[in-house]
Amino acid sequence: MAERTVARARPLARPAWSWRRHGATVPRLAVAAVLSLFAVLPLVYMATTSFSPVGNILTVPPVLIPPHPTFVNYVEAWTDASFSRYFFNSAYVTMGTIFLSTLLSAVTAYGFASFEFRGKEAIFYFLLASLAIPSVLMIMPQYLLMKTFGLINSRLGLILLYSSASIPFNTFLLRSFFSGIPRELNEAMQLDGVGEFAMLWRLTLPLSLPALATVGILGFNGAWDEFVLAVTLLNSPAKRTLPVALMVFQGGHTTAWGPLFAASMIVTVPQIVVFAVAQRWFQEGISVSVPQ
Amino acid sequence: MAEVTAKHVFKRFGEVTAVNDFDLKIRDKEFLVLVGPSGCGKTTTLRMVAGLEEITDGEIYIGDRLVNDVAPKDRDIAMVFQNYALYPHMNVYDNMAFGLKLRHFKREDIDRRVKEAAEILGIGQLLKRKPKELSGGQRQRVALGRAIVREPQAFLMDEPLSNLDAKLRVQTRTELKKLHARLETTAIYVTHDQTEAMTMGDRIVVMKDGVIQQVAEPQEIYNRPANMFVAGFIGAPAMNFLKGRLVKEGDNLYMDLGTSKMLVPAERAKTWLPYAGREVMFGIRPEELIHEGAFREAHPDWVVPARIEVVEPMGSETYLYLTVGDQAATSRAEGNVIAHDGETMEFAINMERVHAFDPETERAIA
Repeated sequence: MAERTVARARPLARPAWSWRRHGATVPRLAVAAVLSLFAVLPLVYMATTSFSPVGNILTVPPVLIPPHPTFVNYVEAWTDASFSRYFFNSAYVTMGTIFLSTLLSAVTAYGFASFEFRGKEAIFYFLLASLAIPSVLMIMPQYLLMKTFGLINSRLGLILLYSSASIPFNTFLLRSFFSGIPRELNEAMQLDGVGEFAMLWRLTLPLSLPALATVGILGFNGAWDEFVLAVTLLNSPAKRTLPVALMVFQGGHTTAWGPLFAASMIVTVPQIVVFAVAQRWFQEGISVSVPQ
Repeated sequence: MAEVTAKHVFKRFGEVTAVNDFDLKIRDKEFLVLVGPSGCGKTTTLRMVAGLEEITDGEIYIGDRLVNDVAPKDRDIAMVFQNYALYPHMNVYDNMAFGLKLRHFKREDIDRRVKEAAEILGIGQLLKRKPKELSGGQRQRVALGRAIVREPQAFLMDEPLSNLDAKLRVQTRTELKKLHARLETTAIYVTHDQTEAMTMGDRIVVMKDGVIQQVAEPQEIYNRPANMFVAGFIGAPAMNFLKGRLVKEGDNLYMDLGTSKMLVPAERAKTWLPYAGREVMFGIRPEELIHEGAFREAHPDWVVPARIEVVEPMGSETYLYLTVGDQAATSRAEGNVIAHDGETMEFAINMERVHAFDPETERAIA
């Protein structure tokens, strides 16, 4: 009985604050706070500016909370500047990229994780080596390739390029995850009558949802705000994606800051929402563990 | 229900021979235990029967059917894995029903079989739970249930109790045996635990380095081990091996341990006589190294002095760790024996039950 009382009392007894024990925490927190400020402040400024009327934009000193918030910038960006169409284009390209990239990466990773074949590791490292090539160097060959296939000014072309760029890392990530699935589960499935390919969707993929979510988030981030390839490949205004479309607010001599910030918010908010919703899976996926 | 026959089966991994000429007929409805230390080839053998490992050479039959080239799913066997291998993304019901669904059983049949198996195993209330919500013992039952619903020709079990705590292991051991009696299905059971092997097997196959050392019923293995490996592996505490000589004096044969000589009973003497004058390894079970006074008095020719090194009281019995001459030995004495570290006591070796082994071949002299 006495033991139980002691055990219950223990968590309530909070150790006293002391410099010796907690002193090191203070500078760490200070550094973290400053770094967070660097990251968050531009976002906050972008958000508040997007709700500011024209006269209150880029004032000195900057106003963080607009006295008369308004949606006028959003209305202008969404309707007058056709951001609804660009949003659709970005969503289309992003979803296509996530689907294609995840599908191809999963099948490739499954091959590397589950089968033994000649030159397996060499091919895998060759695939990984492609990550070391700066993407800018690839633009010309990629452009010529797309031209050959008649995919210039095509959203499908963009999906193919984004997917191919993401496959090496995704394959690396998924292979690690798939390899962690206990061999006995595969064997139990084999005895139950599941074939080698069906094993992918009956066992491997259902157990790899965190890793697939991670691949999905990475695919989303990679495709949603990609600019260089999009501006190179898409020349028709109707097919622009959001990052390219942001340029419409920049004229030769003036910039429409209010709608630009509103449009930037339209680009940014989905990314924040996706990450906030999926961050639990993202962490699990990155930590490469399989639930048993 | 079927016989499982392995004819001169070999498994080689490159230069390493994991299973070397495994030749055995497992009888219909038999509970056969493969036992041996890690790396002895017992699991590889089981996996070859399951079809999870290819056979390098030889033939395996399930019933009358040669299954060398038959896929695991078509061998009509079910396997229980060491870590249970339950599908984490399915609930208990689906784990058990999965194999039947893939075989296109009718929904009602699946439901009946799963519920019957759940009833037998006492897991009816767990059917909707996911594996991660189950205890080790419950997972183990689900794994058994998954095997039972298939109503296979043979159950293959790869150390299915090794992840359970000691108490649950003992309890499940008995339940498994009862379950086998009820289902009347051939079972091949792999374990490294000699107690499991002794208590569960109708017959035991002791393996070492991929080679069968002995196949026999548990009592036969214990009482008449074929060689020193089997003798040392089966039984706890392990059999004592004392080096000595067989000495013939007149019509009598003696076991000479250097410091003392014990008279070999006439029956054994006949068998051991060819080894007279030669060095022999004697095997003495700890319970046959007896301190009890009446036995010593009845057999004065079998008495040997020994120094007590450590006394280990276990409650119902006491293990005495001894030095006989300059050789270590263990005696299993009564729980109330009075013994102290460092003192010298007299023990009688039950010569009726002493084993003798050829020190070169390590085979029993019989």
